[in-house]
Amino acid sequence: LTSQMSNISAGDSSSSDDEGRSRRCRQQQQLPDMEKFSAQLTKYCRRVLTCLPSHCSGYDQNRLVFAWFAISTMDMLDRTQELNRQEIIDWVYSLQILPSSGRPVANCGFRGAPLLGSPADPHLDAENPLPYDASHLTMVFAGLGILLMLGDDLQRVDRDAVLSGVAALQTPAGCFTAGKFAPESDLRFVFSACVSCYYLNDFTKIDVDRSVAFLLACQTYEGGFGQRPGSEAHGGSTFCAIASLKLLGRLDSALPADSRQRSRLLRWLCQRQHRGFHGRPYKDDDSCYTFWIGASLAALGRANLIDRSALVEFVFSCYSGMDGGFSKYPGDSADPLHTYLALAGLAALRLEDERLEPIRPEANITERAHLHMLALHRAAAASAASH
Amino acid sequence: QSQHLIEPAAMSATAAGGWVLYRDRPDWADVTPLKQDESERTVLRIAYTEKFSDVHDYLRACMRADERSQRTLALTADAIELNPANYTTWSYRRAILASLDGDMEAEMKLVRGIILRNQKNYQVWYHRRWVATRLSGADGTSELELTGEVLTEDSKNYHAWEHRQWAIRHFNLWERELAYTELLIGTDVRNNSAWHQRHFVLANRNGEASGLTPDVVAAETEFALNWIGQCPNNESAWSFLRGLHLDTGLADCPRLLQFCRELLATEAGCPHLLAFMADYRADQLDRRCPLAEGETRESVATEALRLLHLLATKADRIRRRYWLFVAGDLHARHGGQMPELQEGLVQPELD
Repeated sequence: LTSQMSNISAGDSSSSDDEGRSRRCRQQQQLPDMEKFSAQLTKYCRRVLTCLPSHCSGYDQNRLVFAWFAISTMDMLDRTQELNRQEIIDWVYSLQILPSSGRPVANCGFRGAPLLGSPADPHLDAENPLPYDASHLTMVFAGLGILLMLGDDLQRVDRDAVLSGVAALQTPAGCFTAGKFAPESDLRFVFSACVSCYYLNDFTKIDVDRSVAFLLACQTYEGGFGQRPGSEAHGGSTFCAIASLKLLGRLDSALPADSRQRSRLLRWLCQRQHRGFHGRPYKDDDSCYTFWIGASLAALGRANLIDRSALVEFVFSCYSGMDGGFSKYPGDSADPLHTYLALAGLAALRLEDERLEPIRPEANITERAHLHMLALHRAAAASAASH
Repeated sequence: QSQHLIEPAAMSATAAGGWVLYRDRPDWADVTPLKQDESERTVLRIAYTEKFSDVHDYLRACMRADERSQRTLALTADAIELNPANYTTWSYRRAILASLDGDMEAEMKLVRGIILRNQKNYQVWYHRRWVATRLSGADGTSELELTGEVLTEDSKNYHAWEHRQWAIRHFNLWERELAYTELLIGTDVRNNSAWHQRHFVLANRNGEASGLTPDVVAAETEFALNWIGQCPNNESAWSFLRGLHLDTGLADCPRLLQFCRELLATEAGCPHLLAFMADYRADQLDRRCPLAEGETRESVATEALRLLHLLATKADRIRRRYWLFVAGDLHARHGGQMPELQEGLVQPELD
């Protein structure tokens, strides 16, 4: 065997595109020192939180998620105290959809933006709510996440209504639709549902067994998970599956540590590294997979199996000091999604502990915010016990 | 009653071809536009264009009233053109179409145009499914055509593949899909989506019963080995091959080991080949399979460990920590002689 090793090939090559990007990557400016890096990122996030240009109009229904990207980035930098926290908290609460005589609890939760014309004061439309106004699961996750990150005590959250709204979106197969007027259903919304229940510490309204069955049906022969049963294994849906199982407390029973399913999953995840991570075989490395793949490995306790220096080098090659954020590929312009996911991936893998607050991978939130969440859970339990 | 909605923006414009704001249109004078309530100090504003704000002020008003008419149908088309990701607009449009008993043929044409301009938009593909299930006499071939067109431009478009799978299931179009996957594989042997689709067809075309019968597995094994022989450095083909034998186990097919040994003569550096051989050996050990003459469990384990060590040190160094982890795990379970690690490489901890 060893005598035949003279035949070694140069290793997997992806598309020829990747070679061009590697060249640009080596030409990128060096990563600035921590203070300058933090300042540039903060400036970018504050700009995003203030106003986006007209070519971002396609984000209109998702503004809460983009706020979440920017605030989460600042949370990793431990700079949320520089924001007008109360203003943001009040804005998030203005997006809560509360039950009323005119609105069934099934529609309750959070909306992504006031784009249907809902009043900022929820009591104003209680009797005659807008007919197409309903919660969206990703907005529930983002809204609760922002409140936790900014240290809010969640006292203004109608827990029962939010959780009922989440449960109302579960399908017979165990998946979740995004919302009453957003009928698409896939693993993204299973994750959003699970993490929302996790933040509120209550899984009793959803059918956990059915969701676990659906999740497992999404694992493919490759070992990763697709968005729906039958779909191709993909980095994003694989994170959603692992995180959901872990949040539901079913990871080790659904994918036992010594099972073939678990070992195939681990193999698939580790194969996703070329230099950075990509989401499917023979796709280009993309900075957002730093989180989808990185956090998946971290959630499985296998962060130590990757090549750290290659990943970090790739991720920082996607940083643009001019923009103050991260792009999908080296040389492209920055956007809030890739900025958050590139950094959060490193934070979930604990690769940048000097620059970034670590991320609890399956909860997709900083350890600091996670601790705050746990304190709220304890306080609620103590309060319930004393009644 | 029905509209031909080929060019929605043009339909709403004046005869002279310029855009007229809704607030300047006489046939909309009865509607009071509804602005967004951004009276609070709002976060993350968007600098909408005047056209965008105007269209959506009227959309908001009509959605509040839930007016379902030809004019609101056209209004939703304008709004969709400006922001096809707004899922509520699509829901409203479906409600209008249902109330008006809308022309599904025309809607198919409209959606096709929007898909071709927004190929990675979730909402538009959902809408296509909604229309396709309501189009009388549909047999799904238009869905294969549309996804085929999108996949010609981007052979890995996830939405297109999901839609194609939906159409195959819904309209029972299994027959010719294997040939389609073969065509795509022939065009790009590393098109992972095509390999996945092939597995999807084989596994699901028999309904509840698995389509991976022994005959199919044997035939498809040859299919995969043929492509691997032509291009060994191809994760997709090796994964597909593994996928065929998931239920039975690699070691039940000695042909696989024979093929690998032959390939090793010229491809000793191919990481997928080395990994596959290690997997084969691990399967023999895990399931306690009878071994060939002259082989013992110890010798098989030792060979597997040498392969994993080669992967870690030479053939797939980016994954060296992973391969050493696999080696450590195999050694713990089955013994064998561990090759000596080079200086500087650390055995990752097992849990």
